[in-house]
Amino acid sequence: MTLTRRGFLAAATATAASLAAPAFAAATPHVVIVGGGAGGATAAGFIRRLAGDRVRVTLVEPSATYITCFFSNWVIGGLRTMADITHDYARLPASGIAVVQARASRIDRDARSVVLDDGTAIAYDRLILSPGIDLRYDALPGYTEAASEIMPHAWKAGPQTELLKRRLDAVKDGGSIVMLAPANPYRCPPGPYERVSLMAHVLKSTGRTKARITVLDAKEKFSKQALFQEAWEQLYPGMVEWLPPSVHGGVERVDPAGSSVVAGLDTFKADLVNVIPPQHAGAIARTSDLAKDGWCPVDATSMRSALDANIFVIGDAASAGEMPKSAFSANSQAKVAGANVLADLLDWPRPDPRFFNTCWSLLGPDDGVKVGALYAPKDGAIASASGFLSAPGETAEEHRRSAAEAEAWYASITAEMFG
Amino acid sequence: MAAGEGHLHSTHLVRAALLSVAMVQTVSGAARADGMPIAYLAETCHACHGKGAGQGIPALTSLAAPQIAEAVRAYRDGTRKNAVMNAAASGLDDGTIRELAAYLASNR
Ligand SMILES: Cc1cc2nc3c(=O)[nH]c(=O)nc-3n(C[C@H](O)[C@H](O)[C@H](O)COP(=O)(O)OP(=O)(O)OC[C@H]3O[C@@H](n4cnc5c(N)ncnc54)[C@H](O)[C@@H]3O)c2cc1C
Repeated sequence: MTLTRRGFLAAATATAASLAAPAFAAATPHVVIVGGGAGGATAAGFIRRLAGDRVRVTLVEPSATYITCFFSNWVIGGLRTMADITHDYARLPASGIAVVQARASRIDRDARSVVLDDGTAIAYDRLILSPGIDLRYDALPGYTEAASEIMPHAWKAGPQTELLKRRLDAVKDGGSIVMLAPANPYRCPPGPYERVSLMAHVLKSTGRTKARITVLDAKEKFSKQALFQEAWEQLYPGMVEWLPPSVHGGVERVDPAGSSVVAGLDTFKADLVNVIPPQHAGAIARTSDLAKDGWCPVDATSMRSALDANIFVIGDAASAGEMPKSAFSANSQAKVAGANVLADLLDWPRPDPRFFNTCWSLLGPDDGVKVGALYAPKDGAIASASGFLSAPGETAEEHRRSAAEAEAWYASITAEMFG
Repeated sequence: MAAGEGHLHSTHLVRAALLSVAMVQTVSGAARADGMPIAYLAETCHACHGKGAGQGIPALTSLAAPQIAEAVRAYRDGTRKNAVMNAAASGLDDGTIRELAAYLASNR
């Protein structure tokens, strides 16, 4: 019945639009979305699926393709190719989304417009910002953008992912890898440790069991720690060493030319250094004064910016309480923001948000664990309402099922983003 | 909508068009009253139970509304176990689950 109603609506709206195109178009509210990643691409599709032609949707994204960070560790682990994680926006116009391939250089909040690099201004009734993260090249002495060509971060997927993989493949048996893992908050809390696991898998499966991976962490503990450490002991014995700051004394600087890391209590020289640097919200959010201390404060019921009622900030750039910065979180926040945008513009009721996240991590091929939660607003912040975590000592079959869930989720979320 | 009338040749067409516009408003009024919260909720399912579902995560496409409702209630109550679904279903009341299942079954 709803389907019939939808079909009828589409036809009726089309009739009305063709009769009175100018007046109708002018009256149609415009939603502009900046950033075509896990948050932005999801929001665009969500809004069009729910509202059809009642709103216009424009997606501003400078890149013609989107390479998912999620599953980029699978590429490093040899379990996926770059082509597998590369997507494009070609199918979005068919669902009525106008894709503008450009970078937003600033937001004129008073005029309610997004100004592109070429000076074009796009007016919005509501703006959804999902620019992701920028890596901080000012935070770790010695680590510059140029240094990232020698000590790859691979924390934005693309050429960096390929570089890290090439470098990993060149490490000799008996060689050494050092990873620097950042303090919270950062994109994908279990990501560094999944990467360690899959790098160890590559080394082991190519007979390089005397190679060693040392993690110099900026934290005393990390996501799914017991699960990862159990896996490292069982699957990759003697290959992985994790050191918290209380042991290494805190990382002070990196020396790309000498391929070494200087910490308070020791200097670590390695064949390969993977630096995952500290991060902050994408530049457009910070230069538009929508961030505080690097991240964007938002209302916990709607993802509306605490600093501008016409703007919603979602995904990694947002300061979303207890939600981790993940593609799943960004996707979930996109739907909350999208629903509230429609409530604003079409006078629709506001649903109670049901924020959700699951982070699946691979320990090896077909071997996964997971952590996740349902989140709800509590005392003005987004808080965990019902969480779960794989237990240590789960069976291989349970791990196989978690890995299979991850694969199905990847296919579903990317289809939701790119059609 | 009056702005469009000047382009028309037939008054019948005008009446038909105005009628359909009026109906759009009525229908979207109905959507306002109850459609949106359930549509939102159903969309949250698709992050996992979307195109990639079938292996690893069950597809909902072959399930009738009562089967979906039964499964969600069982996950909520913990009589059926899956860590992700137990959390995803927690706190949903029976009425919402019924509406959600009906929506999912009729919007494939
Ligand atoms: C190694 C690794 C593994 C990960 N694994 C997982 C996982 O398994 N599961 C999971 O859920 N998450 C995972 N993540 C995290 C996930 O990738 C991010 O949390 C997610 O991409 C955040 O979505 P977003 O929309 O905020 O940002 P992004 O997806 O980064 O999208 C931001 C987009 O905005 C665009 N943009 C930026 N500035 C502008 C501008 N000024 N104008 C126009 N466009 C702009 C960018 O080009 C980009 O396309 C992983 C991350 C890493 C690094």
